Amino acid sequence: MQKTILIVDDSASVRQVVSIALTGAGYQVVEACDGKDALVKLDKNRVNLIISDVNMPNMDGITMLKEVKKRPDTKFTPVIMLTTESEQSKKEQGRAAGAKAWVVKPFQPQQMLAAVSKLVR
Amino acid sequence: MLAISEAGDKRTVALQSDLTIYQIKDVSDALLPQLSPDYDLEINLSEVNELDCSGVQLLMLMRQQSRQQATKLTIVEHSQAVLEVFDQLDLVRWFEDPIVLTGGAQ
Amino acid sequence: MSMEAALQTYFSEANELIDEMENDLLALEQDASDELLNSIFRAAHTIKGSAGIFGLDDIVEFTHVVENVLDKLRDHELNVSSALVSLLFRCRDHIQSLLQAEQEEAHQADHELGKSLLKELNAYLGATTEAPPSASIEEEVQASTSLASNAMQRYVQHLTEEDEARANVERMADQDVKNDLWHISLRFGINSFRDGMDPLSFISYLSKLGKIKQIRTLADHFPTLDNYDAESCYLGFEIRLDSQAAKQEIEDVFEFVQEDSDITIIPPHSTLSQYIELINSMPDVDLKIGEILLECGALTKRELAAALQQQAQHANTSSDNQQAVPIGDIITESSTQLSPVLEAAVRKQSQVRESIAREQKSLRVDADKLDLLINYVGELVTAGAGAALHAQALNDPGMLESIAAVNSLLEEVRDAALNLRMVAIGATFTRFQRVVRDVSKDLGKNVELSIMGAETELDKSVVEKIADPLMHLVRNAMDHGLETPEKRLAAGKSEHGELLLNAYHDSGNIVIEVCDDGAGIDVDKLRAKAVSKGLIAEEAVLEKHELLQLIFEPGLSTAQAVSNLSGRGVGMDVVRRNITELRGRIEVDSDLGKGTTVRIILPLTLAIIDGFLIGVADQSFVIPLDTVSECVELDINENHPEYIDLRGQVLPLVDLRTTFDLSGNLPKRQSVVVVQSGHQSAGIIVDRLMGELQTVIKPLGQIFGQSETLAGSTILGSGAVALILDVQGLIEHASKPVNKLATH
Repeated sequence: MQKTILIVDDSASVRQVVSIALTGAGYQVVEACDGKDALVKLDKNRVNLIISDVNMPNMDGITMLKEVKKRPDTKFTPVIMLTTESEQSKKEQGRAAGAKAWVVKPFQPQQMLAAVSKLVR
Repeated sequence: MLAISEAGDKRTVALQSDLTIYQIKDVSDALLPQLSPDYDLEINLSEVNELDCSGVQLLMLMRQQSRQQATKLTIVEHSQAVLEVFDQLDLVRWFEDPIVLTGGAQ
Repeated sequence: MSMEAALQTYFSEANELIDEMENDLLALEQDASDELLNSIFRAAHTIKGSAGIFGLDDIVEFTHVVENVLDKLRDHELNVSSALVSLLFRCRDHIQSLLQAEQEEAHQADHELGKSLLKELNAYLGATTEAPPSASIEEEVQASTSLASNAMQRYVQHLTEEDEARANVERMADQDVKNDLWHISLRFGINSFRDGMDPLSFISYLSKLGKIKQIRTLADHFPTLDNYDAESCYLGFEIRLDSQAAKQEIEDVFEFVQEDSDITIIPPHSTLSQYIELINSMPDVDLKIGEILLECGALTKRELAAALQQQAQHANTSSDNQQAVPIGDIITESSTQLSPVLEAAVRKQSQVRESIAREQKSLRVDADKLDLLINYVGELVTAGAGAALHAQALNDPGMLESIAAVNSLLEEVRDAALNLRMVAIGATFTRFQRVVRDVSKDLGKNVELSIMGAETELDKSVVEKIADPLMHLVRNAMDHGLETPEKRLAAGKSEHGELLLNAYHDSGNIVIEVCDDGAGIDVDKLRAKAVSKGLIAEEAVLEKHELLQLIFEPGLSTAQAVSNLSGRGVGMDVVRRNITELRGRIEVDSDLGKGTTVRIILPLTLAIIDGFLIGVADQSFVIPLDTVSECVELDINENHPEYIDLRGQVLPLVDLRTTFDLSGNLPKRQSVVVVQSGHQSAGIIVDRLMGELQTVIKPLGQIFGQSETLAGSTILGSGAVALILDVQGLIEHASKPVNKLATH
């Protein structure tokens, strides 16, 4: 069965790069441009994994994560958070919200693939 | 979630749902009380299409409990998904259940 | 979809961000709100983050430091000061230049400038950076940029730890354990399942790095039934792996669970002491783990016995500081393994990127495609007009009704299609905030820019082409129009000069105004200059607006002193040419001492216009409808008049027969179409008035391209070609007698 992955990032180019890597590896990709959009996409799609940026307009990644953890159909979905070294405090908040998997930006597409294959169910 | 049938001293519980973290709470609440010294329990896994470590853990716990309580538990008709995971984690021997390989799977 | 396309997306997104950053920085000077700081930070952050993915290291390096400073601002460790904002402005410009350098071969970024900016930035980062600033930052950034160098960093750290640890371990027996497999001991954290982590996935991933020779799934930590929570994880694994992978690679498999889980990795051929450490690390299952190791073949019975013995000794001799090595921190004794293994990791990193086609999901549409659509819509409008013509000839009521319905829908389709190209002018306007700020500082003037009608929409191609002329007008207003604060005060005005950019729709046109409340244009001086340059005759009688229009003539500038700005831009004549190319016109109003308003009037779109169809002899012409003010009958008694009296006003006439040298009999009756362009009016003598129509403008070929009186051509519904008149050109043509005074 094809696995579906949701990529949430306000940067279209990041979404594109991740999509290229993931679709190339046989995953199906759903894109969202911020946390709010992600929650809408989660209503419509059953996803096996979420990749999300932290810093986004409208709804940031951590607020989105908290919401994901509240919903019965998504609360156990693995989430990979994207971050940079300069966001240590965000990382703490994210950890508290239940984000365990962090990928540091900038990343190479292979790194992302590796992270995904460690987690995807 | 469970299809329960009885024949003499044997109670057969066929799992009607997957065994992943999303179902595990409900399944374990229903399944664990089935262990009883009053009858031999048989768990049928033929309908389990998906299984993760939470499912493995529940089955292991059942087996461990049956050993400690000396009640009889047999797991039968492992689905392909279950067999793959058991194989990967080298649990076939650990469970000590006879695995019947169907013609196709061979 | 390819990486190349993704890179293009990056550039357009980065360019947008850099524009936003500019606006935010401008606003920051007024109001240092957290929201603004966040937004600026996010812009830098995204630019850097994505640049890294594309390997644009110059951008990453520089922006990283900018981001650090912004982060401190955001955390209020630094305060917003005008010096800092000004530095950030310069940094923004440098990022823009770096971006440009990646996009255009020809553009070179100024790396010296980059270095000096980094130095300034580092000063703000202060004590947190080691000296010398620029060098260390570069190293730091580079180190964090590529994973390869990341691994190197860890390697160095590793060696240090190793040294410390070796001293600790050397007291123990250093026998090599006889096996060439990795031993991995995993105790997953209790919340692993809840966190979305399935140990199975990690084990599957591990088997990509080598062959799992043996795995034991452990039920040893299972709680009693009463304490069992199905969503908690109690699982443990002992794994023996045959793999050529680096230790780092194996550790990385568990990077997401290492914080909450106990993970021990023992390389092949490790000394016994490491197994002792492992056994030590799990005090409650001391014997158990020994048994497990024994059972899964990691240790022989003899080795286990020796290990347990040493463990006991170790506990005795160092009872004060026992078990100093934390769980999970595994010290490898076989360091010879590291170098080749590290190399492998580096090699793996530099593997080529993937470029796999994928379904496009973007909403960005190629401008060419839009143009094609609009072109088709244009053809459709023409075809619709043709159908209407035939329907009229047939005079079938049903047919007429249907055609009318089709045509009204066509009109909507046309509007919708054109609307796709429409963008708000606001973005163009706000770009001037920066210009105004910089230029006013350069000139020592206080200028406040206000913007009105930012939401006014116009064709994207027009927006692009209007930027340069607008830039010139804004600079001009600041340079020549607005006075210095002293002069303003002396003139009884407020110290601040007002500059207004205004846009609004006016009957099928968009009007863009650049207004200032500066000194205004001295019409007398202008006239004198025009005369001295030979642009007008000394005795010429010109209205004020005609005189003002002279500022658009080549070689005429009223600036008393040539400032450094004059050298930068284009002349007003070029501005006018640019506007004319857009089928627009430019006007100027000025009151001496009170200010100047330059008004650009542009058609909403360049592709389709509402026209008024007329006929002269056997030729059809289209007059843009928005220039037509009225139609009057021509008094035939006057033979070929050059002027008529229109309610007391002198109206110059244009006879298309003579203009285009058309033969054919004069009809009994002729009409005059009164057209207006700006302040000027003229009458066009026509044979037939044929009503309104929508028309698609087709540019004229090379030969007629220079024609002053024609704006283009169009194909009528009947298939005939009609020429579209350039009203402005015709009016000038009609008022030639006035202009002739200048050339005499």
